[in-house]
Amino acid sequence: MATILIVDDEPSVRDVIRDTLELEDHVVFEAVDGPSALETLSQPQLPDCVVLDIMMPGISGLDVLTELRARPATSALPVILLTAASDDATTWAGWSAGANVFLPKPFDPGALLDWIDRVLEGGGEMEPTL
Amino acid sequence: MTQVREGLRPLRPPWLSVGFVVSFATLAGVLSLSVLAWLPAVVDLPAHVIDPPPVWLLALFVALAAVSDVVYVPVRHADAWEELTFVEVVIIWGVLILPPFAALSTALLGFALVALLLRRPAVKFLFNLGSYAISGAGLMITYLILVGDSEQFGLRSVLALLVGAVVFTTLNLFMLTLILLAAEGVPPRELLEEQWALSLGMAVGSVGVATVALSIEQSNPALTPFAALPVIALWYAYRASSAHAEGRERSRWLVELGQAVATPGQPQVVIPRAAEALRRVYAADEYAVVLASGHHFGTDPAWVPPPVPPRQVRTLVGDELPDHWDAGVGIRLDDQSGGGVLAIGTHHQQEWATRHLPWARSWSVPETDEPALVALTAAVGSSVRAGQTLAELTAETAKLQAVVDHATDGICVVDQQDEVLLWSPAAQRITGVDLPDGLDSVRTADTPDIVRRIVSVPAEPEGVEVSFERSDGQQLDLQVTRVDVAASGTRVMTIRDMTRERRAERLKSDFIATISHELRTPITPIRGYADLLRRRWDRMSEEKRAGVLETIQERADHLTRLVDDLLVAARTTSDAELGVDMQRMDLVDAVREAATGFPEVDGRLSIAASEPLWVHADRTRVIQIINNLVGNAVKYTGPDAAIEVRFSAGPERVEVFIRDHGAGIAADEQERVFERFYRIEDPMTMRTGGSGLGLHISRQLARAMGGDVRLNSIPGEGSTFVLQLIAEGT
Repeated sequence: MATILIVDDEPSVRDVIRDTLELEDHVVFEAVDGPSALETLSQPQLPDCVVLDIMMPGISGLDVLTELRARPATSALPVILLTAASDDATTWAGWSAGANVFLPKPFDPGALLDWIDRVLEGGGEMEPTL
Repeated sequence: MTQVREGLRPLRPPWLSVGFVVSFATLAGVLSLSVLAWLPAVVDLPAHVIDPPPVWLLALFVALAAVSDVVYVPVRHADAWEELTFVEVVIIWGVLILPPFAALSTALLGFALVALLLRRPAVKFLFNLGSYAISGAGLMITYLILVGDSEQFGLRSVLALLVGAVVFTTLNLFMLTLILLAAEGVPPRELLEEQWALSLGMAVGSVGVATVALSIEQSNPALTPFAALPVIALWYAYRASSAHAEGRERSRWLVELGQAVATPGQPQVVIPRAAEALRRVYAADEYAVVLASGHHFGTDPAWVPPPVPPRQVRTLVGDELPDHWDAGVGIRLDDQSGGGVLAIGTHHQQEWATRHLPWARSWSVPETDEPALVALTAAVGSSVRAGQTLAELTAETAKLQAVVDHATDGICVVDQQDEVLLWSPAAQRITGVDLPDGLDSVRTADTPDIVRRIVSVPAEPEGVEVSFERSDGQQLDLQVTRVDVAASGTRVMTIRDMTRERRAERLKSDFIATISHELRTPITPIRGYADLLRRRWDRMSEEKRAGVLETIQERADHLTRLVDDLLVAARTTSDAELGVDMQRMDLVDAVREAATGFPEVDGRLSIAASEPLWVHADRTRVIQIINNLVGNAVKYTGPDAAIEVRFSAGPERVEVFIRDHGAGIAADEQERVFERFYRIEDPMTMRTGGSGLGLHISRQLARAMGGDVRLNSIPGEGSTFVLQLIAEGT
């Protein structure tokens, strides 16, 4: 069992990820945009892993990730990036910003669970697939 | 020679013919002689008159008259050559020495002998004799009346002679006026203006000579012939002077001829100019040119010169000359001039005198000039060829200039020293930089930066992208392609404005990112829940499963709408007809139905309408448009702000206004929001969903129904979208 923060502006995407994770007995928190995610992650209690969407209004997921990596407390926090864009530039930007896993939408919930397990075990990072 | 000008010719009385004038001169001449014969009966002759005269004296006067008629001096006068004779001297001297009748009849006899000898035409002969008889009689009568009974030849005699000379001149000019008016229609005033000074001068001069002659004769008759010395001296002086004048004139026209053949031009310009100069050089009266091309010009437009062999100057004879030419030569024009013949000629110099008297001014082209004339035609040819080359070159240059001026791409030519040789109008239009003619080197400090950047691009086959901000603030993307001209070291740059293309590419790229997000996002829950249902069916409550299935259904519907929009947008690109099913429909009802799609804004969406508004439109498409417009208003308005829908009905148009209180749209974006794929926001961080197609599709659909969608917006206050449709009566 792990504590996981989902950051996505689209309610139906948050719902499906929450339902998937909760059915596997994970504890799930949600944030609807970048600023509220950064707010949540400034608390002393940090989740074990963050599932972060890139395309969000206002502050993008990449900006959030860059900020997290700049903070000592969250510099090593496992982050799985979700994106509906699958172009090379976005993928590279994600890796450069310090994502542990880069998962394009639509993703298989089973695959998401596998990756969460692996990052929680401190397992190897996913190689960029270009 | 007097030009007869069309339009200025005075009305000549119909009875004033040459025949009439000649008859009048003849009759009046006979009458004058009769009066002179009778005159001694009524007036006393002065003492200096030898009466009766000896035969030898009469014979001498006949001879003097004849000589004075053929010995003339050519005098340049009013653009023509006058033949100045000394007949006045003989007549006036005769008045002083001989009885009136004897004086005049000996003079007339001398003139008649010359006319017969030179075979002068009878008409001319009769007129001249009659004219001299009239004016001579006037002179003698005036003199005899005025001199009265004075015994001595003194001042009174000289004054009387002077008045007589004036009368002589007046009568002579009168007769000349008559004949020229009758023969050529020359206006009398014009003739008098040209002639009076010369004639009067001659008469007065003659009085002087005659007076001197008489004085000498009275003091020492043996010395009398020396009285002719001034006349002879004058004659030689005139000859020398006129020879100089002729030489100067010839030189002037030789210069003109040189200029004519040295100036490149069309044959129609060069050849007449050269021919006219040539005519003047040889003091000819006429020229005529015919070219192989059929062009034909000259002072005598009706006459076509005969053929002449190549490289030859040929004297034209007999039938080869036109009727009124007495002599002429033809010169073959070489092929470069257009081929053909140039002829010059004269019409009054082939009389016996000009052929046989050494002092007469005869007309000819010396044989020694012939090589020069042949060379001249070659020069004319070169000039014509140069003119044609110049014309072709000018035409070619004009073509190239048109290409440079009208090319859509800018053209810039730079030499090895970075000197800008050409900066085309399109280059100026695209960059907004106006480089004046005679451009400076781009190395100078005041050369605009963009010019410096354009001329220094490397030679890449695909061209080089240059982005810059124009002085009007517009951001431009240019593609500059450089071609090096190896031989001259010149570089040619073509400048293409790729701003629209690049913007379209960016729009497309943004669209792909957006549409990818819009399509993948709803698929994520569909696919995720389907997988979850499959794997964890047992662990999910009945209620949860129902909620999950509803989400799948709703997301699938959302995807369907998105795909529909994409298809409509694709049709607007491919020019395919947007299918609209036009019918009579209630716009208010359609708007109310569309509003039910936005339950979350139910409380703040106000629709101001109380009764149906009938329009001619496709109900489904109208609902789709209202959906888009209201959906936009909802997206871009704060959660509590009101959205108002109002209607306006005119006789032909019905409009629906959808007003939000959102951020508004800047003026320069207001038209662009209707472009396909256009989004104001960056797709990565856009606050609102959407494909960037909604407004584009709405406008296309409205136009397909004969209406339109417009936008009024004030940044900071909100936007009003207006859907206009065709009204249909109730």
